[in-house]
This record gives sequence, C-alpha cells and structure tokens, in this order.
Amino acid sequence: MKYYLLFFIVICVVGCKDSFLEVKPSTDIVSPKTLDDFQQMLDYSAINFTSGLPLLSADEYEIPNEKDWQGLTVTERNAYSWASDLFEGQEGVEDWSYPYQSIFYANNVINGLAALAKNAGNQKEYDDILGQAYFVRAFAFFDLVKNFAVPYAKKTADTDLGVPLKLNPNSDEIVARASLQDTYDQIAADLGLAIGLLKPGLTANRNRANKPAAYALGARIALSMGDYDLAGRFSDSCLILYDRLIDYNTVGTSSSTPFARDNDEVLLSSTIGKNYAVSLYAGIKNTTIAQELLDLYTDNDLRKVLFFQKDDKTGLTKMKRGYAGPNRSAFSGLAVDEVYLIKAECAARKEDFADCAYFLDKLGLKRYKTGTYRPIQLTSKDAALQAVFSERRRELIWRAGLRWDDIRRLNRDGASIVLKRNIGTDRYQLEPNSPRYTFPIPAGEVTLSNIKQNNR
Amino acid sequence: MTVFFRAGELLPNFKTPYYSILLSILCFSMFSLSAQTPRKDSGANGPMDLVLQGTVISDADGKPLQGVSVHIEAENSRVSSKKDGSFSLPVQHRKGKVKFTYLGYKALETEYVDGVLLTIKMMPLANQLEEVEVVSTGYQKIPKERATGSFVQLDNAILNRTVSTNILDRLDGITNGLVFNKNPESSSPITIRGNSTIYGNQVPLIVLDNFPYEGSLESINPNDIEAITVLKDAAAASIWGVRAGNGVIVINTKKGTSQKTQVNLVSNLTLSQKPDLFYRPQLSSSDYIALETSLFDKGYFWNVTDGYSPISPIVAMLQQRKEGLISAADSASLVDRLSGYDGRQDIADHVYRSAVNQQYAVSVRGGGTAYRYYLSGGYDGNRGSIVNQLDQRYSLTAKNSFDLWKDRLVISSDIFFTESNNRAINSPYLTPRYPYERMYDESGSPLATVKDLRASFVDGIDRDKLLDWSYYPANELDADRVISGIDYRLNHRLEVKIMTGLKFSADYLFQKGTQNNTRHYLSESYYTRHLINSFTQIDKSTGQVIRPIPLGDILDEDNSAFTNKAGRVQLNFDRKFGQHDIHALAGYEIRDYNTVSSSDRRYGYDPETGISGNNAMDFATEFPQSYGYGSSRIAARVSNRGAVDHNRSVYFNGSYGYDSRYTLSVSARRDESNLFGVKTNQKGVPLWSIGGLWRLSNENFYHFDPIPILRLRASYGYNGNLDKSVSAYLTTLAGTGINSFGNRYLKISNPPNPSLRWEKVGIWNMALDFETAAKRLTGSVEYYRKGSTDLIANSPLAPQTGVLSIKGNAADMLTRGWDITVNSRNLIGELKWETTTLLSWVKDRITNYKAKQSNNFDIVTGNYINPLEGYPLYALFSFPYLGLDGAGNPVGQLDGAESQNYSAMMSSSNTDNLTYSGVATPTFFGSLMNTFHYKDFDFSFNIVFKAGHKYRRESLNYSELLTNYRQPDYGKRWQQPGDELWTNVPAMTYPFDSNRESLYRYGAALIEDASAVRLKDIRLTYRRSINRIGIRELQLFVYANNIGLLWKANKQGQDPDSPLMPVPRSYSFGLNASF
Repeated sequence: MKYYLLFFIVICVVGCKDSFLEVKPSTDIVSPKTLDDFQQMLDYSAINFTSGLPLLSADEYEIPNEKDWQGLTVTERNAYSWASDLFEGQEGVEDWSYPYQSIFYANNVINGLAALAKNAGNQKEYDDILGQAYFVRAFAFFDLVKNFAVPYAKKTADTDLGVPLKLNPNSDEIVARASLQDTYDQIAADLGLAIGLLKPGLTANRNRANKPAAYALGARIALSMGDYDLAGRFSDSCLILYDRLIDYNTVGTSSSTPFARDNDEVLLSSTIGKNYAVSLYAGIKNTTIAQELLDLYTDNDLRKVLFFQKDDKTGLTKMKRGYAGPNRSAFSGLAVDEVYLIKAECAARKEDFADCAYFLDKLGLKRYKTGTYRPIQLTSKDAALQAVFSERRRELIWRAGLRWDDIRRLNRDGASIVLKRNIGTDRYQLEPNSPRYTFPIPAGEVTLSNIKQNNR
Repeated sequence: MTVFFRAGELLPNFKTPYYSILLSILCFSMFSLSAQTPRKDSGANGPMDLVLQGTVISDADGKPLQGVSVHIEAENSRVSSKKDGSFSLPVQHRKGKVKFTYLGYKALETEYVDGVLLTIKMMPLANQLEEVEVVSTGYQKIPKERATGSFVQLDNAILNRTVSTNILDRLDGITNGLVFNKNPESSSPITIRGNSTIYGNQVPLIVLDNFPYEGSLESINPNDIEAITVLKDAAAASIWGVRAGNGVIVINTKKGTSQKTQVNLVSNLTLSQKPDLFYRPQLSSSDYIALETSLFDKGYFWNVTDGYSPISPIVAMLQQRKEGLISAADSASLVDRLSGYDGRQDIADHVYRSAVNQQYAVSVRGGGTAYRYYLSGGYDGNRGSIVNQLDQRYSLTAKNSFDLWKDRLVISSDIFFTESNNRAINSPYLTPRYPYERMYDESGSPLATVKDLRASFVDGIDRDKLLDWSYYPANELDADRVISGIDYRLNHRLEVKIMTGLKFSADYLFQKGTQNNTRHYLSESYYTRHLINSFTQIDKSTGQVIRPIPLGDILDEDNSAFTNKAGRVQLNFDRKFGQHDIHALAGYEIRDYNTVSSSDRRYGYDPETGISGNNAMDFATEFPQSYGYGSSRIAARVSNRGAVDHNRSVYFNGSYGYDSRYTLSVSARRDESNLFGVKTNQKGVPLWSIGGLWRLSNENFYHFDPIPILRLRASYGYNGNLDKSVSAYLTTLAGTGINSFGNRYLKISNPPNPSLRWEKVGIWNMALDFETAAKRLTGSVEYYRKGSTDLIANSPLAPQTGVLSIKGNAADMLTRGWDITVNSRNLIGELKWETTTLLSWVKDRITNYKAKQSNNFDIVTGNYINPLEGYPLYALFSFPYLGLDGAGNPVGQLDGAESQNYSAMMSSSNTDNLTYSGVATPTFFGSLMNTFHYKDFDFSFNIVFKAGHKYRRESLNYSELLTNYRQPDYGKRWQQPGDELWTNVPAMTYPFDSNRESLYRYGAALIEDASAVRLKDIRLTYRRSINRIGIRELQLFVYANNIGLLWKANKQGQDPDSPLMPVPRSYSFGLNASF
C-alpha cells in the first residue's frame, strides 16, 4: 500500500509546477522590494559613518608622552604628526570606504524605489524614504570631499579635483574624480531633492534624515564653501522648523553619559565609523585635551564639567560621552547648537551684530550656570567673528573634527592658523594651506580604479 | 586462498564431511570447472581430426551461455558458444590451454585434453565476493570490464583494514587520486584529482545507498559499509550532474544474502598517544618576562593605569615597583619564581589525556529464496584527548528485501538509525595566557589566573556586592557542552521486471536529522559569574545592587534539523542481441532538502524546575558595564533560520557493446535548482559525457601472451558546480541586527550580478588497463585534463563602488594529471606477498582571471582568494628576502634593487617584486601498500607520500609575541652586529612595524619544501576458522596508525602536514568473528 502512495507522491511531484524551483533558498536572503525593505536598508547602522581622520589631525588633543605616541596604530601616529603617508600601504581604509558604502546603499534604494509604484497610500512614506536616500548620498559625498579634496575655492573649483561621483549601484562601473565644482554641484542637487521630499519634523529615529537636518547640512556645506549668505538662509530654514536647545543646567553632571543619543538638540545622529582608539570619548589611550582649549572655559561654563573628566591618577583630561549618547565613537552628526553658531557667524559676516549676539546669547544662556551668563556686546566685525570662533571651539569640541574643517576654511580665507605638535624632542608644524590638509586617497582605491592621488 | 581446485581431481581424496563443507564453501565463492573422464573410444586419430568440445553454463543458474568466446591462443583459433552453450573447435595439439571470456563473467583459462568433453561453469562477476569487479555509480552497477569511465573501487576488506569511527578517514592512502588536504586554505578535507572550483563547494559529492547524503558522515557506522566507489571522470560522474565537479564518493551499505544466516562481531579498542604540548617551540618563561619588562620600559602597556584591564603578574609588579609600592627584592623574587614555571606541565597533567576509542558492532545477514535481510547494531565510545570529552554513537540498521511474483517484483525497505552524544568542555583551558601561568600551586590547590580583568580589580572594589570574579581554570573542567543528535534514514525501493531486459524501479528516500547543542553554564561557572557581574549596576550613593541578569545558570541551546526527501523513477534496459550488448537507463529525480535551526538562551535558569528569568529581563537598555567605559545590551541570543534546497533532474545513460571488444557509453543530465534571483532558463544546466572502451586483448590479432588483458578507455564530458550564496539580484541579509535606535536593518550581502552562470568542468580521461598472466601484475594508467570554466571567484572592487569584493563567474582553471595503479603479486607460494602502488600527479593553473589584482601584500597573504593568472590556485608567493643588514633590519627587493622601503614593497602592485615559491598542495602523491600472508597471518603496512609542494614556516612575529608567545626562533633573533651572518630573524624594534615584520613573515626565507614520506599504518592479523564451535572465521588484529615520518625534505625537523602539533600515534586491538 505504502508504495502506491509513494508512486502517487512521485507523480505528484513530477507534475508540480515551477514553483518548486522558485522557493527562496534561505531565510537569510532578502531581495528588497518593499518600502519597508528600503527603509531597513537606510537604517543599516553603518549608513551615517563618517571619517575619523579630521579629529585625529586637529589640535583638540595632545599626547604628552612619546612612548604613548609610539604605541598607537600607524594611521593614528601619522595623522598626529601630519606625515605625508598616512596609511603606509594599508588597503582597507574605512574613512574612505564607509561613505562610499553609504552611497551604494542610497543608490540601490533610489534605483529600487524607481521600480516601485507610488500611489496615494504610500506617497508620504515613499517620498520620505527617497528623500533619506538623497540625503545619505549628499552627506557621504560631503564627508568625502571635505577630507579627500582641497578646500573649496570658487576660482579654482573647476580645475581642482573632487571625488568620484558614483551615482548608480552598478559595481562594474568605475568613475574618475570629478572636478571640485561638479562634486559640490552634485551634493547641492542631492540635498535639494532631499529637502523637497523629507518629512518636516524630527523622528525618534535620529539616524534617519529629516527636513531640519537637511537644512542644517546645507548650512554646514555652504559655510565650508564660504557662501555665508546661503549658509545663513539654510540656518534660518532649519531653525524655523526646529530650534530647541538643551538647558545644561538640567543635565546631571555626575554621569559619564550626560546626554541621550536622541536628546533635544540632535537633528541627525552619526558617528565616526572607524574605531580609532584616540578619537573615542572617554579615551583609554594616554591622550589629553589641549590645555589651551580647556582654558577657554570659565568656571561658570557648565560645559567644563559636562564635557570633561580629569583622571586624577594620570592627570590627563578626557572627553565624557557627547551627543552620541552611550556610544563611545565621536558624534559627527548635525545638532541645533551648530546651526545657531552658523547663523551667528553669517550674521557677523553681514555685520548684523545684534542678530549675531542674539544667537550667541540664546545658546550661552543654556550653557552657563543659571544667572551667571552675561549678554555679549559686539561692536566690530572682527570681535563678532572672534566671539563666534571661540564659541565654536568650546561648543563643537570633539564633533569628529569640525575644528579641522574650520581651520581649513579659515586658513583659506587668510587666518594663518599654524598647528604645532611636540613628540619627544621632535617638533612638527603644519603650515596654513599645506597640501597635508588634504588626506591621501587609500592605496586600494588608487590601485583598482587608477584615480589620481592627492599631492601631499 | 586462491588455490585452483579441480573438483574432479581433488574430491576423491577427501572423504570427511568437514572437508566437503569447506570445499563446498570454497567452490561457492569461486568458479568451478568440472571435467568428465575421457571417452574411451578414440584410439589413434590423425592430428587433423582433433576437436575440442564442450558446453558453457552460468554458475549462477546453470543455464547455457551463448556467445562465450573460446580461444586457444597457441593456435590462434577462436569460436563462440552456441545458443545451447555448446562449442566445438578444431585443434592441432592433443593438449593445450583454452581460454573462455564472456562479458560480465570472470574470464577463465584451463587445460584441455583432446576428447574430454568440457563443462565450463562461468562465474558471474557480481557474485564474486572475494574480488570486487563491479563499480557502482549510485544509479547502476557496471562490471568494471564494461566501464568506460574512471572508477576506484574499494571493497570491504580494504576498508576494514583501518580502524576509525568515520568512514571517510578510511579512504586515506588507498584511493588513487584522492588526497587528504592539510592545506589550511582549502574548505574541503579531501580533494579528488585536484581542484576544479575556487569558491564553489569543494567537497566531493557523497552518495550513500544511491542518494546524495546529507548530514554528518559521523552518523554512518563504518561496519555497515560493503564497498565504496570513487567516481573520477565525466563518464563516471556526469550522471550526478552539477554536484559532480569535485568527484563523487559512492558508498553502499551491506545487504542481505540468500544464504545461511551469518553473524558478524566486531570489537576493537584504539589507544592514542597524549598530544605533546612540548613539541611546539615557545618563549621560555624567563624570555617572556624579559620581553614584558623591556616593553614596559618602552611604555607599551599604556592601559596599565586604567585599573581594570587584564595585565600579567609581571606587568602589575613592574607598575607597583614604578610607583614604589614594592621593594626591588620582592620584585626580583617574583621574577625568579615565575621564571621557573612552565604552564604547559599542568595542562599536560590535568587537561590532556590519552584518547581511547572503543568500537563494537554486530550484524546478522541471511535470507531464503525470496527474502533477504541484514540487521546490525553498533556502538562507538570515544574518550577524547581532553578530560571529560566523550563522544558516543549508537547505530541500528535493518534492511529487508522481498522477491514477489516469481521474482518479477522486488521490494526492499531499509531503516537506518543513529544516535550520537558528544560531551565536552565548551572552552577548555588549553593554553596558559602567560608561559609561567599555572593551574595549581605547590600544594595542589587551584590557582586563579588572569582572564578578562586584572587581579587587583577582581580582588578590589565592590567585592561584597559582586559575585566572586576570579577565574580558576582547574574548576572549569566540567563538560558543560552536550551535542546530541538523532539521524534516521528510510530507503524504499521497488523494482519490476516488465519484460526481458526491461526493468522499472522507483526509489524513495526520507532522511531526518536533528541536532541539539546545549551549553549549560552553571551558576558557579566563570562564564555565568562574569556575565552577571559585568551587567551589575551599583548605585554609588545608596550602595544598592541591581542585577539586570538574574542569578542562576545560563543555558544556551542551538537546535537544528534537516529533512532530506528524494524520489527517483528509472527505467533500465539491459539486453544482449548476439554480439550487440545494450544497457540503457533513463530517469527522473527530485530532491527537497530542508534545514531549520534555532537558538535561544535562558538566563537565571534553574535545571530543577526548568524555569528561567528571561521574562523579567530588559534586553533593550544599554547598561553601563561594571568595569571600563563600555555599555551594552544583554544578548538575547534568539534566532531562527531555514534553508531550502530544491533540485530536479532528468538523466539518461546508455552503453553499447559489440563483440566484447568495443563499448561506447553516453550520458546526459539536466539539473535544475532553486537558485535565487536567476531567470528560469538559467536555473538549469545540461551536462553530458561520452566514453569509449576498446578491449584490445580480445581482438583476433592480439597475441601478446605476457599481457592477456589490455583495455583502452577514453571519455569526455561535463560536470558542474554551483554556489548558491550568490544571486543575480541585489540581496540583503535578514536578521542582521537592530541599530542603536532600535530599528531592524538590512545589510546588503550580494550586489546584483545579472550575468551569473553555473560553473562547468569539462573532463578528458584516457586510460589503459592491463593484467599480466596469472594476474601477477594488474593495474591502470590514467591521464586526465579538467578544464573548469565560469568559475565563481571573488574579485576585489575599487571601494568607490561601495562593495569591497564581488563574487561572479570570473575565472577559468586547467587541471591535469596522471593516476597510476599497479597491483603486483610478488610471491604466490605459501608466503604470499602483494603490493599495491598508487601514484598521482596533479597540476592546476588558473588560465583566466578577469578580476584585477590588488597589491602584493594581498597576493602574498591571500592569493587563494584572488589567484594570479598563470599560477596554481594555491600558489605561494613571497617577498624576495636578502637577509639582514648590519643593524638587524631585513632587506628586501623593490623594482630590481635592494630595498628597505617596507611599505612600498607591501603596497606595490607590480608582481615582478614577488617570488613565486611553489604550490601549497601536493603535485605528486601516492602510497605503497605491502601485504603478506603466511598461513593464518596477514601482515600489511602502508607507506604514503606527498611531494612537490611547499609550506610557509612560522617564525617570529614581534607585534604578536606578547599575546602569542608560542612562537619559534626567539633565540635566533638578531641581537648584536655580526648576528646577521648566521640568522635571518630580524632584530626587535619598537614601535612594531608591521610592514617590516611582513617582509620577514612572508619572505622567501621561510618557504620550506613540504615533501615527506610517512609510514601511515601497520596491521597484523591472525585469522582462522574454528568450525567445532561454529566460528567460520575469527580474526584478531593489532593496528598502529600515524606511525611517523620516514623522510622529510625540510631541514626544520617539522612534520609539514602539522608543523606545530604532530598527529598522535594510535594503536588498535580488535577481533572480528563471523559465525
């Protein structure tokens, strides 16, 4: 009897249709097709990773002991001494590959969405996800161009080299470096699309882009390009939608994690991707915050206790955790305080001292012990700018190298900031506008795609 | 045992019933030939009238055989038997030799005397138990005589010569063309005839009782195995289609017989030597302490002041000394004390032991005219070489077969059941963290050692609020991991004879295997205490203790199960029309292989009640750790997965033979599979083969008497391979995790690759089989050439693409080689001596590789991932190494000139800056097995060799020295000017320069010749029958395995197969009895 049954099964199976071969081979594999799939791709935890090189190269920290410098990794050591060869032949340099990975994800989402029908039911979600994808691409291209290309200058931007503009998910296609102007144009185009598509309000998931964050990114980019008018307008647009600040008087000073990752000021959460030990909050390596920088904080400045902790045993001052919440990697995202300072700087550039002071005061009131903040008086453009720059150093410390980006643009505009380091008996100096302000492209990229290396 | 009996002569001499029984047994298993007494009539006929006459019948059923070739070589005369089996051949000489050959039967030669009517009983080949000449492809059984393909046939006797729990291990050293890989980069333990894929599955297809076998080979009781056939070329293996690219191993289990009931008993015991921990060179305790001290002075231990991270007792002492907390005398005495310790001793004494394997099996087989059965049971108990490690296997088999409707219908039903239980320590303490670290103090009490945290932290703060945090290796030796599995297999078969020569068969296989892997960390285990403590939250102001992980045990369970269902319908046609011999089969096969797995973890688990604390736990919050600066979520460790493998195939295989001289075979098969994201027409691939056989010695013109049998074979065809992990679509990995905002995310696993195709392997095989008179020498010489195209390969991509590497059809490979087998019967008297020589040459070369190579460092460290065109797949490349300069720095070569620009050497992409050092897989290998029989004794030993390949010797690597002190050559390092004259080991520098170290580590100076000859095993068997008590045969044996190297090419004194820890030698004792 059994065998008749078997026969029956065999015949059945023979006769069954092709669905037998259409079964998915593994639960592990997903072919993204739905809006939810695309959102999940953009929620990938590495999507907002940025480079740690600017923080390693900037003048916010010091290594007092030469032996401790020797104990660092190759890249950390070379970045600290501004050596011409940063990577010594290392292939996989995440500072370069993470942003391109994000661009690859974004390109796949943009491509995938094109194949998905938009209708009245899904339009809001659809637009928002597409907007996020364009934002991710703009954010990543900007991280690349500010690190691996020379500072933007309108006059030479058409001939200066930007970065390769990968705009499709096709992994067979290799592109050469676009001009700096084309690179910034592409970023502007992507950001413009993102602003048009994104939802206006913040979401609980601050890893996802939103309209205020897109305006904030625009402000940051315009500022770095020296287009202060545009930067001011972007800041305004952002702050109209969202301008909440944290009152540091309400933040507990004893905790080593004073801020949540979804605190009131974070517009977009992102961190340094590659885990350089030196760039971590509460760094375990024997590094210290530069004394000259610590001296900028007065005793009534709450940031002095909220940002720093001193190790009594070693005498070294370390960063407490910042806006990345419990994450130890430095915050590189967008926050309201930065937009205030961009707005203030643009006002100062326009010599609108009242406006400048308004934004500096508004921020200052939330940073000093209640009742101790004195409103700022500004009379000259220079004084106003100095006030803004000094506030930027205090407020935007350890923001994954915003300081380095500032030195680059200020030196371009003639600030003549010279960086100096002492390692043992050796003295190192980084002259303004040195080619070493631009990082070399990792060997793995140059070998495989033959793109032009930076002079350094 | 191969005495030729002539029944007519011998029978009268033996009258006792014992002898006739013995004789009938012997007769049964051999061909027999009876001759009648000469007719008395013929007197003095002239020579021209001499005629040889007789009849040929089959020994199996007594029916006459038509078409048997009757050949008198001396007279070059030949005739074929008629329909009634009779033959008549004029002869010139009164006496002589006549030879009978018939396809599918054993050839036979005998003497004739004119006038004696011969009755020749020919023995069908399939019935010969002592000499296996039938090869099985899993679809059909082919007499080796008729086979056009390349097969290796291993019978029961040769398989049982070795003692092992795993059947696969028994193929080592007895299978021509098969090599056991010691190459660490290879993903398969064995390779048949070299490589034919790069990223596809490299494991040969294993076929058990006609169906591809899934599940663990450990579940097969080797005592149930009747024979193994290894299919090597396209004609042999194409019938298996896409999975046959790496060769096929066909395993057949024992069956019932239509004979008197036989009972077999197997019992053996294997003792292995304890692993030798002291074989591997390492830094002495005093050298290590000196190294720690010097690195401490250089500031290497930057974390020494953080208060918690693990530091060695020496570093802790140095820091205390620096802070002035202890005296110089105290620190010197600690150094003195620790310098005298060697941590390996405690491990050798308390963790390792001699492994003991026990194996018992009993089987009963028999049957009647219409019924056959085979029943068996087996037990294996392996006490492992680490304490508390015990692997057990129970297996049961029942096979039944019925002939119905006057033998027109055969039904068989087989059941196999295996249960296994493996207990072990999940993370045994096998290597001391520091060379001077001990498990026990002088009085034998357990000592705490450094694990995740430093001793001062563990003993210090919050001691009263946390669980004891110290790690005592001596208290962590309980077997906390149990892997238990159940595997059962049902094989059903139905066979109907439709008409003469035409047979229909249907097969159905159902196999299910479950495995449960449990790790039970008791509440007092370090693992549990460490986890609970790490998450414990202590409120500094109130002193309140909150434990996010509840007290109690931790239980991890990983369950997996597979089901394998396969069905096959097949028509067989076997018929002989005069000189034409036709065999054909066609069939349809369908397979559904499913796996599911799940994992979970219970915290606060109470084994008494089975209750756990998971429900009350918070898996979402990131808790700050109670040491350091980290914070993390409690791992929920819950997952479920599944995979489905669907395959459909149609196949045809046919052979046509003419006049026992020529055979032509063809096969074709189309496979379809549920490849993901491929168009339907790309889901399948047609594969085919064609083969020819010419029995040269059966030709009329063939008269070369020293070699009475000579055959030529040639075949060509395609096998395939596939990699189901790649897809033409963009795919992402599900369930990869949740991001820090609590959203589930998808990670891209496979960028789209629309041009994906199946891998194909085109195989040429050409062979010559020979047999000299009286079978003194038999053997074969085979040449093969495998051209693999469209191989899936990994290509590095420029990072700007967002993908660092991509898998695609990017490579072609050519593999060529020779397999030679020679069996010789050197002595055939009372002392018999037989030798089997296996020789294989194999060479492979990547002929085309579309992907661009990255830099030289990548080629040197991972050429097998991304092979260079024109070189073997497992090519070894090195940096040219010109020794040391006067300061102990290594000198390399860059663009033709001496250089010390280490980073430029590593990142150069000019391959002229590299040296090709040879290939990592043997190009020439084989074995020489000698067997002696004398009276009741058999003695055999097997010598195996591998040659033509290279390996990279491990040497000193400073940057890893502190974490891995088990490195050689520390004493040979450059220390002072002049040392460069006798050593290649660079001086230590600080900070460590990894590029400088890589030049030495991957330099040409560390390449060694891996050729070696080893005495693999020796076996001495005593066998006799004790009929008085019903024992047909009793065998007692002693067997020694992994005996050792006889010769090695390297001058380092290393065993190239395992340079760091030699495989322990083992000794087995056993008895086999059959009743």
